[in-house]
Amino acid sequence: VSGRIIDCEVQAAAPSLGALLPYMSEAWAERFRRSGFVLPSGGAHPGGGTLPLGQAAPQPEQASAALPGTVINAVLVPHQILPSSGWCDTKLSAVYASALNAYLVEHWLPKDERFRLMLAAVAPEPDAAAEEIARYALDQRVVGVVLSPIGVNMGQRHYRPILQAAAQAGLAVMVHPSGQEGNIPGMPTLGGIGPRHPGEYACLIGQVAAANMASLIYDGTFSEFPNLQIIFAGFGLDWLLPTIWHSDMEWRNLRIDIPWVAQPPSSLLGRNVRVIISDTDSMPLDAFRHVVSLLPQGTLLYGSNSPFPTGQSALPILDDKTREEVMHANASGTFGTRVNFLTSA
Amino acid sequence: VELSVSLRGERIAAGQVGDYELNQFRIVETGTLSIGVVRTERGFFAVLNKCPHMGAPVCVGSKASLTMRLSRPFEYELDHDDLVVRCPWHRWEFRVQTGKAVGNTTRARLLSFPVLVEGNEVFVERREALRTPEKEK
Repeated sequence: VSGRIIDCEVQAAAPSLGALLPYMSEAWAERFRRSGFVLPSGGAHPGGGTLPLGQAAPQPEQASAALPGTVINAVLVPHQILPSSGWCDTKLSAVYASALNAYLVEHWLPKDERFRLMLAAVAPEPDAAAEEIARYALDQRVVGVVLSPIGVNMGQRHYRPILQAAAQAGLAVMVHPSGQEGNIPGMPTLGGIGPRHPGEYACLIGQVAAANMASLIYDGTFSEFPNLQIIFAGFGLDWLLPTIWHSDMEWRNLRIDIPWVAQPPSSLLGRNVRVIISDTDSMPLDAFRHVVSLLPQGTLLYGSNSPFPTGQSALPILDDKTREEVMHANASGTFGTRVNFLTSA
Repeated sequence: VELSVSLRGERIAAGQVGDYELNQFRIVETGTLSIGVVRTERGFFAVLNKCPHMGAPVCVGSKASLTMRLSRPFEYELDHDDLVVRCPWHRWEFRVQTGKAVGNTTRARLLSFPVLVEGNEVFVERREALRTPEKEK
């Protein structure tokens, strides 16, 4: 057992709006200032998880120092982009995403050679997201693009520019909750309910992952982009098996409706679709072990969600072989040569 | 339409050509077998009237019909090379010529039986049929 870790979800934040303004045109910077733009907190994680009161989000040097020595790569996720999918001014959101990317590439990536980056993208502006992907595609430290979903499911044409650009560049697409689901028109709904309580939201958020997963399957995304990697992060794990079992059954029964799906949907798990885990997603431990044992090899990636707290860590519960796969081998299958699977120890 | 038939050696009498409406399955019952027989523009075909999924009478009331071939997303293409029988219970589809499932959905298949037409008489070959299934591609 090597104990090496590729941490697929380390949250990274810009400290202030002022830090981002140099990465946009003067005119846009003026627009941001005049609109009273409030930078999403670096100390709060969309969908849940906050730092202790008064504690600032770590700077890159602190994040680097906090990485255990066993971590061979840490994928930075600019979580401040995630609430933006619910904003009305989508052009502003796209400029904001671009500034976040430029800031992180300049101020974070050089601080630790283990750092890798998920580019910030905004789902309402797919063409802008595709441009960002094209801009950084050759930077081997960039491993993917992260977005929070809107009320259009990901298999639909709206997302095509993003998925196509990512597939062409060999970058993964990470999907992460925005924290706005069920609250704002145009965002994904949660069973038709506007959840009034954080716990209600947390119980229902898996619906969004399930809906997008089904859409990606049924709309033939993986038939069109057979190498595309989709990563669900922050949605937990409890939605996955029922969704994929049911998808398999319905495909067997009604293949005629989706003749472009030539393999059972479950075969996508571990090949095109990955799910990040850090904790046991509130499952009893024996249930968690069993759920993991039912998943195809390659399905799970490990993400610490650092610096935000998580629940009961999943890693000690897994058997040695599975833990090795989850901790780094599966990330290699997802990100290819952009992570140091073979070169570092 | 259910038929009562008599065995003649290895052949099962399955009525007359004129009894068969194009693409509409008829059921031929022996003491041990229930077989669906259909006349298509490509000739007669016969399959076991028992879905390998959950044992449904797959041919009762069924028609041999077209299905979709593998295509790019939303570019539906009818597969004119083959006809299928679609199980009424769970819509599993099997090719009437071979009994094979359509589209890689399952390795289970319908047993298929050769059909002989002599003059106006239709026969299902019993022994031949029972021998063929698993080896055929």
